[in-house]
Amino acid sequence: MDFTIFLAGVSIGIHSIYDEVYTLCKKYLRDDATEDFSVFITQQDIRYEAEKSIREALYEGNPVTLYSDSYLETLAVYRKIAVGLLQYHTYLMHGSVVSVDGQAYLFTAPSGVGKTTHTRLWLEHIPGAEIVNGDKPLLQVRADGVYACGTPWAGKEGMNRNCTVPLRAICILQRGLKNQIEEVSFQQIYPVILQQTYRPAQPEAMKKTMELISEMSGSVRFYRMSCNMEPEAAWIAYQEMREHYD
Amino acid sequence: MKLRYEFTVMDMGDEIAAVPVGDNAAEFHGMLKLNETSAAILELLKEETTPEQVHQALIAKYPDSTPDEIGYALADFLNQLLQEGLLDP
Repeated sequence: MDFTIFLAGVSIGIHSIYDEVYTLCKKYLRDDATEDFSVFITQQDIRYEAEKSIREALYEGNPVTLYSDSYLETLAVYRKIAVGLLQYHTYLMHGSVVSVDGQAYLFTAPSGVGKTTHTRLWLEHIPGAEIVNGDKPLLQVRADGVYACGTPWAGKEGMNRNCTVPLRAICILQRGLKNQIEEVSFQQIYPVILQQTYRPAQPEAMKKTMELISEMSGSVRFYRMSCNMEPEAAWIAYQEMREHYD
Repeated sequence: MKLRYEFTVMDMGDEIAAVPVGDNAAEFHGMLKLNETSAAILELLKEETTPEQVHQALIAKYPDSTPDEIGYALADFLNQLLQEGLLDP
């Protein structure tokens, strides 16, 4: 299938083999024909995703899951988009982004820590909280700051909204009995940021990613939070991170 | 011995972050924190070499340190790379 989507202010032509990626991207389709860059998928790209998912499952000690080619193609498309968007000062970070009153907050953590649970607490308890993306947001570095951009690639739950919101803070979550949050410097937490950022295989693309992370670090605040699953966790996080901007 | 992957480095002020790149490097999700000496060692390991050759190169580069001090730092860093699977012995 051939179609165009609009992500992070960039028109991207997609030439896919299966329909699943088209269905996934429905909220992000764009009619006009001008494309900033295009993504072409081959069977070889799909094989690469299959092999990669098996390799990573084995490496992490997880059970190997065999996915359909049409699903694997969605991964291949996003991988190519992520590399293509680097030239538009945009990179992919693993995390969950929520916006309140026009400001976005990104939560990141290794899988299983509870990003999704914490995100739901915000959506249920903080007035005006809206999802931007639940798993794989794009971050765009502009002259006036960093912006979190919605994309249809949003993990198992598929929580996403087609929007672009200024990113105010990145918060690293860990589980705790009590809710505690502290502001930290980029130097204190950059290993986690690097770990949770999509790393292209091409050296030049990785170099560009590192440059963007470095630029991003100058205009975003960083926090580390221990939290439980009570609504109070969302309130404490929100109060601490927003107070600097009032 | 030689590095298994190419690395991209980022200057973090008082330390240097190094991330491996390449098709298989994604299996190593971590990163290395380097100081000036380990950054120099990483540079030397881009090409096939031996521990002795690296040791000699570092002794020439850091005349203010003793060969033993350099040797200990080198052994520590090589062990770290081996444990992380980042070095082909």
